[in-house]
Amino acid sequence: MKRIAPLICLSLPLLIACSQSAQQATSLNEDAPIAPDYKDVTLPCNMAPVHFGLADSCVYEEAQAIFSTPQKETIIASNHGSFDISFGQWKELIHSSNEINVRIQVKRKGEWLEFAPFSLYISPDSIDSHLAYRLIEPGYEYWYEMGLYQRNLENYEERSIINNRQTNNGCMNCHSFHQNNPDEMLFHLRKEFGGTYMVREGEVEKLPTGQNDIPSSLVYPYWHPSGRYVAFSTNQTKQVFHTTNKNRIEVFDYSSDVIVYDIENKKVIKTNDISGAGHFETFPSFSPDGKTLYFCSADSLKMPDCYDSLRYSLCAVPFDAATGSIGTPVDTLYNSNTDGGSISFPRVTPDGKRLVFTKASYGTFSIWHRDADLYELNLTTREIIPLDTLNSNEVESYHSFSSNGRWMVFSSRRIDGMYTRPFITHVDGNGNYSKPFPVPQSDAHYYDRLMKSYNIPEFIKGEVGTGSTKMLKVIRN
Amino acid sequence: MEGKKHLFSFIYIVITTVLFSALSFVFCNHTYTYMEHWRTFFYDATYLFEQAQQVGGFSRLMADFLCQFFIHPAAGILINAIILALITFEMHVYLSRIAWSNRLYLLAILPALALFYTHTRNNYLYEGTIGIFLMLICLNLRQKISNKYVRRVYTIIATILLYWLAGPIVMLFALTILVSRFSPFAFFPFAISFLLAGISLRFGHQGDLLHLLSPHGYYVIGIAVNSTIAWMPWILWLAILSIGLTIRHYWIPQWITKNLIFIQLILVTSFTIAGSKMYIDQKNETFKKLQTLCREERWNEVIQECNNNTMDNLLFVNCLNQALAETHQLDKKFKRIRGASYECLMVEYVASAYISAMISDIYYSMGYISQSQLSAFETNQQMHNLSPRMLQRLIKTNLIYGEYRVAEKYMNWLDKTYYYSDWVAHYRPMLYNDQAVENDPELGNKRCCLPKEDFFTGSVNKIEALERIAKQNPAHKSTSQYLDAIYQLR
Repeated sequence: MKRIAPLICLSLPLLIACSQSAQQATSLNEDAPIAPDYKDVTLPCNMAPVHFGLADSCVYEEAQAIFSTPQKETIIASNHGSFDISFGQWKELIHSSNEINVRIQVKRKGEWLEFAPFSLYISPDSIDSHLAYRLIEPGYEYWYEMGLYQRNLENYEERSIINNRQTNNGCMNCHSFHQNNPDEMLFHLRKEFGGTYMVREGEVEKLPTGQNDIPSSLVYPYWHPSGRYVAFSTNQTKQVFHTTNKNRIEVFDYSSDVIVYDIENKKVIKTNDISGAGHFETFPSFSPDGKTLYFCSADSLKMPDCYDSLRYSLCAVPFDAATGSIGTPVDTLYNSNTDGGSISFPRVTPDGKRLVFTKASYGTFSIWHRDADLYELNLTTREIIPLDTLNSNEVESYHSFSSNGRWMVFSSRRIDGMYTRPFITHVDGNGNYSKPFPVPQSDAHYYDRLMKSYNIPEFIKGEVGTGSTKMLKVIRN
Repeated sequence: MEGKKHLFSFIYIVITTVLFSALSFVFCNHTYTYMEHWRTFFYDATYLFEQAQQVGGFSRLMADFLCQFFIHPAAGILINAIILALITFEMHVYLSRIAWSNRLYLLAILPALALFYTHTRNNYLYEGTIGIFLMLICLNLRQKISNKYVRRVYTIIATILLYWLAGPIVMLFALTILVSRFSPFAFFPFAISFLLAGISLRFGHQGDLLHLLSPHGYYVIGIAVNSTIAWMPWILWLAILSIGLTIRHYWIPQWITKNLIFIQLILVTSFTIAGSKMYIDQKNETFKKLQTLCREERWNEVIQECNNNTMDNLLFVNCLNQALAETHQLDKKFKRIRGASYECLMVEYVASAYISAMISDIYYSMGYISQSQLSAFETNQQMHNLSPRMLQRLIKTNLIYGEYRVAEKYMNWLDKTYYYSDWVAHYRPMLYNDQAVENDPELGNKRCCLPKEDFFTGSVNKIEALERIAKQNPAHKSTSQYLDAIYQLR
């Protein structure tokens, strides 16, 4: 006993520090000011734990978060302002229940207070394991460092797919994947190694752009479900800067057309309906069954003089994959000339029932329009509704779906109005969207510190297997 | 004996500190202050941990830590002089062991001098100097190990560690070992360096071996590197090692050994005089001084400095005219260069981030806030988004525009520094407080320059843009000063 006692005394502080307990606290009847806001969100069962902290404006001496289910309770003390639940603790919680109750307790002037509790709902729907995106500063004319990255959503690991330190600081963009397949992707480089590159089953190929009537610059790619075709837009794009407008930047096209590229035959398919002289056609996408090609179309106007009169309608044409032909007529699903607004990024849900798009009051590049919001078109009833659950006072734009159609990721600048962050929402079988949440990071303050924007977030079913070394061999040749 | 040795070391370091301090003071007394415009140290544990994990992160953080003090010109000169003196001393210690002679006192100054010249390049990154210091410590520790096998294990570990801590300098470490003792094992650090670089290439840390294993890795990417100056410290170091080995292994004529000190003195003196003329661009040094004075809004000193210089350089003229505009003298004392027109007020061609920073300042003086913000943002991008000078500008412009959340984001970064937290504390009450911004003499006046009617910056020429600003806010005198100068050019 004499030998054990000092050991116990020495261990006691450690034990006390490790074992937290819920405090008797006075209810504050106000929402917990947490950031990022994960209150009452629906999370995938296979996602990394959410880490969040209390807002800087919240004053306290101590704080703790109590995560509880009917079977389990885990208390996490504030660690430099954030509650960092571990993977092990998180797994135990989500295995014990599909709803986690969270109570935040803070100590002020010696008294413990408790904010209104909130829940974290764990969906049985899994999410694709990775998210691919470009990281780049938000805007302006020159770029410096950028890259295409992939983030493992089941942990916090982020890796470079390829970055421009490897390509003499050129621009890289327009990454896209065939049906969320990480082994089939396209991306585009500008400047020194300019061109469109395709990665398929470990092989890298530069598309013969600029030859045989194939335009030299192909952007906004969208894969046909068969994998044989890719719809592109060819654009002459210009960027100008406002002096006072809150939108800061305006990006528009002097001209744009949609084409479909036949990978097998290395030829371009186009018609006047999608590549008309009197119109700007852009942002193509295919339906999940591959039978319809959607795109946005606007009357060609003198730019930049008429920049705020430019309005894109949402159109669709039949597409026959067997013959590689584009049919008629053009179906106008949303006529911006009569109904107002300007459409971009049409994307059909994987079940083929609905189409989600971005709408702003005018213009092409919605990410710089603060009024841009997400809308949904029911392809059967043709009813259009704003996705109010997802929209905010800042821009919501580029969206894409997970392979099982149960999760949608979209770009939003709601955090500070300038830096784009990826937000995820759950879509149930009835097409209802849950409250969106930002992709969890190990550091709760990560988005506050990050000085880059997320661009074109796309779910992929695994890690991109082809290394950058292999890509560079083709790129540099 | 030990006491004499320590005394010698102390005197050696003091003398070389004085040497480098004097050189800095005479030839480039604003080089270190100018370095601080682009980098500082952020007291943020997460950021430090992230940086330290990266290849070369430790030396980068050390460089940031030292650079934060460079905001004071004297501190910058003294700190750097001490660092260079320590480098010189470590080089001398290593050289003495290699050459089996401690009479090569002055030879080690040559590569340190070359390193000093690289500091004057705008795009040089100070972690290159820290890297050399770390490498020398590793080398000298290695020399203290007598057991051959322990030394070999140490060499392998030091190679890996040095690459992780300091990046490209590992190649010089490997080359030093190879030159010092040509043996099969001496190729190991060489091979390990390439292996580590290959891993970095695979994971996309860099694009080519040039930036992973050569002094080019210590320069801002995207700006042309003067290869002669970049390689000089490395080559001179290897050269003096070769001299040391020659002295050790071969017969040297007596007249050389007798006059060794004198010969070294001639070499060092010649390199100092010639090198200072050849490798220190005095015009660039003047530009750095002017930029520092402009940044601190010491307009009268800018004017004084320009009066003391030959004004045949557009960048000088830009700075002078900016100072004249700010002191409301531009209309009467507008400085022009023969053959140049509007470029006397602001150069058109943006050669680098250093020029776009100056352009941001000039636009700010003009009251053309959107362009000032644009230039500041572009410049900041090239400085990994954490240039204190540009962050200050971005905070101000975002406050002017009422973009408080973005201003707060930048403030939160600058708040983590030692020297800018007070500056941030002055501006933080303006967040989400239009009245406070409007009441501020500077920001309120600038806010009144924001055009009531929006237009694209390229849709009207600068003259018309300034006319609109001047008409809208006649209280912003420097706009009309610039306009008066422009009218004189017509």
